[in-house]
Amino acid sequence: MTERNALLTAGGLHLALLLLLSLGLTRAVPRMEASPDVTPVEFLDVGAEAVVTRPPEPSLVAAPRDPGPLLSSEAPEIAPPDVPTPAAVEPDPVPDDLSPQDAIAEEVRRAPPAKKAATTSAKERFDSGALAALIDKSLPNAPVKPRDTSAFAKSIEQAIPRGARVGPRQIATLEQAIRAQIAPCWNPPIGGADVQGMTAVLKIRLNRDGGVAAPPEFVSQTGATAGNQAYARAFVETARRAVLRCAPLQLPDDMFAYWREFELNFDPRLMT
Amino acid sequence: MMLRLLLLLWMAAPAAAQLRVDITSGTEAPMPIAVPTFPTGAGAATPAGNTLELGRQVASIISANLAGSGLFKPINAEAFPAPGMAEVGQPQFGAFRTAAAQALVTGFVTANADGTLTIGCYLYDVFSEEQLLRQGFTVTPAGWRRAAHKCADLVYSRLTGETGYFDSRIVYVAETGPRTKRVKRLAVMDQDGANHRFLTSGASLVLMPRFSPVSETLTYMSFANNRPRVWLYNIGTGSQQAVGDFESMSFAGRFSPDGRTLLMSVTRAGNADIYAYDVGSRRSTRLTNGNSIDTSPSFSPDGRRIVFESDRGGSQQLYVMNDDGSGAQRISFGEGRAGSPVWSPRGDLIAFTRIQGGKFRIAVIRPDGTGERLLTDSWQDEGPSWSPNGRVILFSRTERGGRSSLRSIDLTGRNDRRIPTPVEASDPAWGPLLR
Repeated sequence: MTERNALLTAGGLHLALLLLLSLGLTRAVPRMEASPDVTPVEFLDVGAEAVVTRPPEPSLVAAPRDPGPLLSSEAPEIAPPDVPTPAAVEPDPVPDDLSPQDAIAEEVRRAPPAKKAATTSAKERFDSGALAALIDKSLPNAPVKPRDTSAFAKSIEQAIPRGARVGPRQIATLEQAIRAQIAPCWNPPIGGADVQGMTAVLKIRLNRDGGVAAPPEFVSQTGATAGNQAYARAFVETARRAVLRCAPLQLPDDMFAYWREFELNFDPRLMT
Repeated sequence: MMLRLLLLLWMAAPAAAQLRVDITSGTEAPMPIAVPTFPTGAGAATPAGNTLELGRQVASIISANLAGSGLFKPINAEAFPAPGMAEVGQPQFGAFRTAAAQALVTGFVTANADGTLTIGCYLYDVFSEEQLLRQGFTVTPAGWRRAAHKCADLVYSRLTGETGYFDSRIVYVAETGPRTKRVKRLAVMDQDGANHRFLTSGASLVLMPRFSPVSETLTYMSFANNRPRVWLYNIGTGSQQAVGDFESMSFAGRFSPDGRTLLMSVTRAGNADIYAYDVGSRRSTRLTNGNSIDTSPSFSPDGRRIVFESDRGGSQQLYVMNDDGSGAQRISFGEGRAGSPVWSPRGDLIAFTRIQGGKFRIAVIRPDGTGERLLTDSWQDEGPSWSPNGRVILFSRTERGGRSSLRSIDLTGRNDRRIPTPVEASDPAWGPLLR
């Protein structure tokens, strides 16, 4: 009896611990807020001049006062402070063969496509030919093995009304269409020291016209440590910016049930 | 009961399946950013110029810094209207979205009654319309450029997650005169080439200037009185001091990350060894021994290891040892020679000069000797020096005609740029971020 009680207690405690850990962990992971707190204004005094004249650090200031080997006859010549100082150097003009108009035109060309008129339904502007074109435009440097979509397709089968079900191939095609539209808008900070192993998952909610229904929501992140929080935050923001910049997405209207809400896993491993 | 309920909820949660798409690559194009002229309300005359003009200049400095990093592409200011004072806090995002800007840097310049200037610095995400940072700097009129650099550093840091490097200086050897009678002077300037000044007259040959990471002190090598050795130079006071009283030549001085120790090479009977010189106590400790030439020592950012070059294995190569001189291990291999190593302030890489096939090129390698990458491909690029954030490498390039200039390159091997100097230049060293 005592033994059974002990076993039950131990089992119960294990379960409780497991529960605590799994619930506790989700709370422990720092959440990326959709709107970070505004930095309060802090007025700082910057030194009087770029050429600072304050004395050096104590460890070094001790040295010149010392009567040691500093002999004025031996000291290298110093130019009088003001005589040989030339005017500030003008930086070389940046080579730029674009006229301002060309530059603006180029910027505008780089802009994501303007929102389609609301009268055009997603169905009307989407056909399989357009989808194929999008896939062809998918980044050449992304020979990623497509995810095994059969499990996913199977798992949501129940949720989709009979007759509207789609196969794994259509799911894969949809994934490609999303990838092809998001990747060109994503500018990850790849030079950072901690870029290796850094990924971020965002939850995306779209309207039927492909526009964002809600700000992309932070789901999870890997590679973030106590020492790289600023970098981890900037990383997530590049992902969020990519979605906002590329919206509205052009996706097949008949698959809206699949892309109304989905997750994007931003992982720059092919770029580093 | 409660527990069972929670358990049920917990197990039920993952059942909701969802499409999940991997985005494994993106674009490496610089981020389009808008930096319109900073408004000033009614213009006011100051010793640094009218605030209306300062507003234009501050925006132009920030814009040039960001463009110079290679990570941002400032949009031509004609693409959007310049904001007024009221719009600094509440920008009209539509105009910036139309101009394809992803971020907006704005702010203001105002003159205060006590003669100082206040420069406000604001950063917005154009798509989410969020304010990403807001900071003000009160400066004397002479310090307005530094406030602009500080603003650019904040913007850079907020958007890349790395620390900035714009409010910093560069020391280098300015070269004039014919090849046969070259005059070399120490010169210091802001990272963007402004506020240039010479520190020495050129009567003695000077080489290898290096900043202390924590103070206004430089170390360099001077041939003053025909006695080549390492000196300290205080930029603030102009005072100088020869380091140690070695009988023979000393060279290649470089400070430790805390500024308290100076590493250098001292020659003795035809070979050179590395010494650690304690700046406070003036005592020196010999770290390497033997018949080889050991030089170009550079501390790791934690101060516990030292990278240096040595010909102990037959040719000039890189070695890493502990700070007490023990445990030296060769890290550079492969074809050619390797010299002038410098440990990145980030700690993850060592920059050096790769000498191979008659060319000098800037390269990086990990401290364990793996991952060597060549960053430049010119005829003679040498003497790398890291930006304070470990992102950019400064070096000198000599063309076949003999002209030398300062260049910088991103550690990814992109954005090879010339740093403007009034005369020919070599042997640059990047100073720490100013406070």
